[in-house]
Amino acid sequence: MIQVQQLHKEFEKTKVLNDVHFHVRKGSIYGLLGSNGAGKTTLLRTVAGILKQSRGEVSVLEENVFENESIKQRMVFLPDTLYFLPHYTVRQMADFYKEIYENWNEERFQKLNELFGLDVNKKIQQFSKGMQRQVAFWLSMSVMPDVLVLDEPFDGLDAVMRKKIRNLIVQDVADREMTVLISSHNLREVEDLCDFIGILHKGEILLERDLDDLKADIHKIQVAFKGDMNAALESELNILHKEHRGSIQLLIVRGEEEQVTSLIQSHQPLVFDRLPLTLEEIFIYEMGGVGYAIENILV
Amino acid sequence: MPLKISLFKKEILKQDFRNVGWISIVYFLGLFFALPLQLFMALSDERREYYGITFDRGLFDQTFLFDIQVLFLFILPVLMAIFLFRYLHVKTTSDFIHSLPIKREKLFNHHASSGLLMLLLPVLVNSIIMAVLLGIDGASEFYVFSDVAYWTAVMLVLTVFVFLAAVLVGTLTGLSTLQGVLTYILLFFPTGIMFLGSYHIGMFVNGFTEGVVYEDGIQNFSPILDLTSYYQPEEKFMPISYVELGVYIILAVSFYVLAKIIYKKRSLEAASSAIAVASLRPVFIAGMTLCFSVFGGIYFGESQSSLNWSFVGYGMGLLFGYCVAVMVTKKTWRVFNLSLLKGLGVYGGVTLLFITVLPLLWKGYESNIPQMDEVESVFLGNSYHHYQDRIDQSSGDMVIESKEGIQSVINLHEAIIEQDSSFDEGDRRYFVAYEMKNGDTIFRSYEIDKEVFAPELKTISETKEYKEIHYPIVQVDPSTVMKLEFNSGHNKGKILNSPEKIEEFLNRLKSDIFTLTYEDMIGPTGIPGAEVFVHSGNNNPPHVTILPSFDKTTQWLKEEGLYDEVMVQADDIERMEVIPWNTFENNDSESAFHHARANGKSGLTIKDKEKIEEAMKAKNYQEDGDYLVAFYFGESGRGDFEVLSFKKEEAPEFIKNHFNN
Repeated sequence: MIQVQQLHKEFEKTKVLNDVHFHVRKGSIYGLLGSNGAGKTTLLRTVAGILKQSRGEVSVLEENVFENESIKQRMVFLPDTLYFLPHYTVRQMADFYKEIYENWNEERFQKLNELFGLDVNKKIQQFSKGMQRQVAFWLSMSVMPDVLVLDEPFDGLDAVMRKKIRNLIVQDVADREMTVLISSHNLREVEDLCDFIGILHKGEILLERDLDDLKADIHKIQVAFKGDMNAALESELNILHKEHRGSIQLLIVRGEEEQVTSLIQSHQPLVFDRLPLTLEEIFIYEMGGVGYAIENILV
Repeated sequence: MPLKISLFKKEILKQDFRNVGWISIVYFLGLFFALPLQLFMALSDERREYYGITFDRGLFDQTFLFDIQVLFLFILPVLMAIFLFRYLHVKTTSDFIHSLPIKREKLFNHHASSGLLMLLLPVLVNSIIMAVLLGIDGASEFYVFSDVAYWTAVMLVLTVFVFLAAVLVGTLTGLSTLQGVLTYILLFFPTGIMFLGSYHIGMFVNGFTEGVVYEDGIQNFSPILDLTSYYQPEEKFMPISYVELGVYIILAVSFYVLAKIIYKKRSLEAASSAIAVASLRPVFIAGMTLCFSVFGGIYFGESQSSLNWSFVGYGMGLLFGYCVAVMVTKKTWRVFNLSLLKGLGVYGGVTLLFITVLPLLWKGYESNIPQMDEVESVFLGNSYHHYQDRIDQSSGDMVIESKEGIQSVINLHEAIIEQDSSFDEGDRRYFVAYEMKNGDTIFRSYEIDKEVFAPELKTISETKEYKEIHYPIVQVDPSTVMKLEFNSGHNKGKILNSPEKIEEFLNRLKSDIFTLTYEDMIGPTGIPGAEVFVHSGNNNPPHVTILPSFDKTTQWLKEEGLYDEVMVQADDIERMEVIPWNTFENNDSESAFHHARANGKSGLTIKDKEKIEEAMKAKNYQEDGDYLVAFYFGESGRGDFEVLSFKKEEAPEFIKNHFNN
């Protein structure tokens, strides 16, 4: 659905994106994480067809996106700093979108009006920052996009509204197989929403993971053996991290759950507990040596 | 239906109108104020019957506030372009607009056409109003229908031109303010660069006639100057010809095409950077460096008349221009670091090379002297302007055609090339125009010291031909003369009507003039006796000043008993005053005397008639004597006086004696 390959982008002589690859499947929600200045916004602007890549390929809906009207008809980009035409009311803005986007759904617009409960005849610039963001979502969702590109979308929204919008997105993804690409500098903000996570650092993609796989793949275990842990067991397990708390050992292990369980059981542990693992921890252990890069996005 | 929608986005036009409709309205009101409203005011003004003004400038007349029209014409289209394309210069707006499913080309076309529409409507509506108002009684005194048509054509074309020029600049830059500034620079640029270039060449190439460039419509290369410099003595007022309108249309179309191409290729991340097209940045910096350097060189070189100062000027201009250009492109004044020096080396080197090479290309021009047998005729005067007047007035024969005459000018030309340099200061400007047998014209102008070239100037000046040109009176056919008018300006005068007398007088005057020496011509001897005007039905009668040294003429006047009536004599002079003069003051003797008096200097006052008579016949040097001598006329002793200047060695004894003691 969104396919980015060998993407390079330079502003004058400064490299902003360097050989970026990633892929967003149809009907999935992809979270693009990265600290400030990592190049997220540039990447999204390129995916939205605003900036032209220096090299590489950016295709959306199987087509090159730059200056591609028919693809852009089916895609909406919401930038981190919102923009509305000066002095426009919600209604006027809706009329503008209605003419520009062929798939404008007036019925949806009316329905969402009930959800958001904002005055359509009020100038958008007079709304608060959070309300303006609601208006932006309201207009965007009324376009019925196949691809939604969101740059830091939850800035300035309170928890209730955040949940409303999250539901809205999820619903469209479920109903219409909408594809969503979300950037964020905060993992917690998107972990309950995304299927996939990619981490962008200094213009490069550090890793890309399916969250379900990730959670199924890494385990936090407390074990205690009589005496020391068997060296054979240690080499058989893929241990990412190891800690001693008295006679109890804390292990972060990668591998299929059943396999790991049976392997440990076969060594007759005195204690064997599986502990819950937050996404944050998963990332820290997963990243290992490059962990420094994600510290900032885990705040 | 979808096809129609995708071709034409009504909402974008609507948005443009909401955004910049006010500019359209202001433009309309401005023109409405300048045209229909002024017409009503003029019509109801009862005083107009007394003025009896002829209105020959149509709708560009002052009646219709020409200046206001020009102001609106050159400001509002630029504003329109700035506000319409402002979205390109602001990141958030740019991102929003370009994330919409509309191609850049379509966006550009939409905005450009809504801008054009909003600019052309005010012009057209005012045209229609003016056309309709022609029906009012009295309106046709001010303009006719063809004036409305011409006004409409000029305003439409120039409005479109200025707007598209500003649009083009807008696609090149990322800052709206810079867009405005650069647009006006663009509108002046061709004229400015021609001026700088020719002035620069003129400083280093001796004989180069910048005047030809300035006077030959250099202003037509800038629409602003083109429209405003219309005060030419033309029969039919037309600030811009139809050919020029055609050129503006072609340029406007190419601006449009160019702007569209640049917009399509433009990197949108360039919003808010000074020069959006990276490859143009060096061009911008080099251009600024060059222009400022040349300007600096010209300014200091010309105001100090010194080669060394001009080098200082080139250097300072270069440094300044380069730094400003870098500051503009970087949008900060804190640009001073090592890379600035490196760039200065590169751009400065290129600029200096260009500055040096340009005049060198004209070295052949400098030493080129036409061959005698290729020259048809020569004009020798002070300036190109002088030469143009000759063509315009076509009064008499003003060119040298004889072989000797042409050869003498060529000799002078050769001498100048050998001895003069373009930085040498002179006291006289000479302009030479050779008209060649093959139809070419060769212009040269020099500022020379006339003492250095006295032998050559003497040869030329003493030819009969030259005298005929500089004393048109000698070409007058006595049989066409109706009367002679003598006027000495000091309560003396005489009119001569008799044809015989006229002929006798003119013959004697001619022979006096033809025997004048070069020294007589540049330093006439004695106080001017009388001015004689030769009237033969011409508005501008030729005239000449009779000097005491005109022996044959004065002799004849005495024979006829007219001398006392006509010529100024010692008896007419109440007193004279002598003041020593430092000629470095660089003035003519009359202003020098005024200056000396204003400073309270006083000198020797003489009332003795004999001494006055002696002084009246002494040799006069207009610009470089040692004594200033003022002769006061009449009893009053106020204002009315004539100033001569004498050299020490040639001054009458009593003056020398007085000041030597």
